[in-house]
Amino acid sequence: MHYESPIRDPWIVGETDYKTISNEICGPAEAAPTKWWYMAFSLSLTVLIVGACVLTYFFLTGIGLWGLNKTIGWAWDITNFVWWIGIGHAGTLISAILLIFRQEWRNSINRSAEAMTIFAVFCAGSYPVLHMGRVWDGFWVLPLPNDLGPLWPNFNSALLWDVFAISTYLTVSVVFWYTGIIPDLATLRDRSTKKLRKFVLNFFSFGWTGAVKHWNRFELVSLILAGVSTPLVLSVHSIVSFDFATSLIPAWHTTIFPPYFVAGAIYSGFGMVLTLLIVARKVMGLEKYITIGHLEAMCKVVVLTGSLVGIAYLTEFFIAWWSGDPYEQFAFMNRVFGPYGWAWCFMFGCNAIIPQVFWVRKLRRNPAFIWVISIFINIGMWFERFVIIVVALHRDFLPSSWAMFSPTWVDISIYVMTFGLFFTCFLLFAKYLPVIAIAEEKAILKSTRGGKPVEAIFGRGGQDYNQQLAFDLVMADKARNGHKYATHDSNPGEEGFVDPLEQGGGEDE
Amino acid sequence: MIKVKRTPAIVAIFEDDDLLKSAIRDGNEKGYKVLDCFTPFPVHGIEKLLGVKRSNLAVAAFVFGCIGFLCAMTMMTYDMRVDWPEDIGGKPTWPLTSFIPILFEWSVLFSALGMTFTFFWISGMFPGAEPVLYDLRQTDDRFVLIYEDASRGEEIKETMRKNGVVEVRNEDFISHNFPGPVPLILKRNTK
Repeated sequence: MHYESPIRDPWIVGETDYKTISNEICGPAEAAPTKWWYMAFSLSLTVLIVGACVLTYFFLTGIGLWGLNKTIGWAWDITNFVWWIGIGHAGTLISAILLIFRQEWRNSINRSAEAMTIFAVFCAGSYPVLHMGRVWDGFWVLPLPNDLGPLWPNFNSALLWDVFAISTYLTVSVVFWYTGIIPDLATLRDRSTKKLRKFVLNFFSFGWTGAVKHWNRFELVSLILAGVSTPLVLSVHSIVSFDFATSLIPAWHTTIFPPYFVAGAIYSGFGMVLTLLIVARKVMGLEKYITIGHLEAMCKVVVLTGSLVGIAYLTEFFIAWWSGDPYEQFAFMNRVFGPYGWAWCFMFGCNAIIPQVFWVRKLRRNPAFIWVISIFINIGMWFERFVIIVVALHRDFLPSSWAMFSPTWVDISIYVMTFGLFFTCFLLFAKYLPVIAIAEEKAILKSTRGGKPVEAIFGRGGQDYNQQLAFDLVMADKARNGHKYATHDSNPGEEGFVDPLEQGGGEDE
Repeated sequence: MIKVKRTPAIVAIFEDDDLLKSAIRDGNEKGYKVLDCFTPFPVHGIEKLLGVKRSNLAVAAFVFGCIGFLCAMTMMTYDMRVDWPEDIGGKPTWPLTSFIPILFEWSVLFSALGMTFTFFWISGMFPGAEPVLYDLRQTDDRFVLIYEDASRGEEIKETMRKNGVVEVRNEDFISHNFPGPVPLILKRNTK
């Protein structure tokens, strides 16, 4: 039973029909790249290539190039790993969890959010590999039969759980994203006229024809993939948090980490989605589909998860005091008043305080303002991971081991390289593939406009087509069958819903 | 061998999903047989009208998930209990609680991959599969409804016209007897 509240913004703005949706979303994918795209792509590709050169130097020389020392064994490498993985989780949240909750507003943002997830996981996944040092021996983490005993990995280790979790997450995300994009590739295939383009799209669209049976299975597959992706997201970031929580380090060994990390991941992910989509909707002319209402909904999620993260911070302080454990208490005093107190201020300010501006309606409906705040969100979440990792490690149990950390140029270059990788991939996606899920947008076109009469949506007619007649028929059928015609559940015998906008004459069984 | 079957049919093309549904209702009342129906997006309520049964892919997903669970359990039990039991930091040799994350991850992985590949297999979808299209815009903004033309062709056409059809014509419906992905040779046999 689907009910769309009349006070909600329409998720597609303006009088549109199915053809226009296809044209406006496929248009950027079919057109030649613009000057701006070339500039952005050259910049990110250059960053990626230069970064790859630094990476080669790093492989040949070793982890000593990073600013790590015996006290602080993990710093920028794991900070950046957790940061990128956290960003990836918003894509799965939008695709999977919002599908399960039947939130129609996900339809215009889920495709690019899922793509963002996949590219973020590419960037994140490079760090566990890189931080091994002897990367060429990296396959030893996998339980492959060998002749050294055979020697197996330690299944008690959270780091090994991470290997399975991240690889599963990447695979399932790619499968979910790709399965969803097949119908849109078919749309592009049937619109294309150039031979090579048609061949490539034909190859990747798997012969999709839009048969009702196939759509039936497609929807079930989407729902089940969403159903398994949701616990997967929660488990992956919980397992990432176990990298710290299963240790003994003060400020790490705490059971609040799984929910705290998951809330933080959703928060940072939505921040990145906002950063990307506010620019994309403007540049690609998609404001009709990624509306202010969508941005507002995302800001509401931001303020919710930011507040959750803030509560987690306060809980940690409380538990440190309540526990009476001097090491735990010192760890938190050191966070705020120690040499890295400035990092803690960034973290607390950007994550717990700044998102509170989104309680103000006017501010969460202003795209430029939201974009600025989204940058602060990204920065704040980076500092959170930095504070958790480096500040906890640099002063733990034994004062004679205390040390400071500062990043080297290699740390910074590899991080910048991951941005190059991410934006190169994202720009390629935005240029060549439909940024919005075309079929899903069409599916919500009628319901999102409050079930208004269908005459505005009729396409251009053929030789047997009479628009007025078609409209009369639809209205007559409405009267005959006694149900609201222009909604999803227009089956005879099912309960019609009452449209509050329709006064007197509302068809209601 | 794959046999391509051609059935004489009426192809009716609509530009609105509500009109399509109204046409199908009329057709059901009059007892016309629907061979297939193509839409550019999933039209809700149409499965009931066409009598499309709920797919069993959910069962497949569950079964694959169980297989994933068993594979992960077998792998880890063999490695840590049968082949090389170890005392790692005093933890039990067969640490079932430690297995939970990986058991869960492999259940999800096998379930997702298994169900998706099953979906592709039973729908005849694979890279490079040739689609049989009755209208180039059936993936864009047109809805195609195909009725079997046994003898009531003109009657079917008239019913469609009464429901606001945009185009209606006689055409052969292409189908094949192969239950899985159809190899590319079908391309030579189609229009």
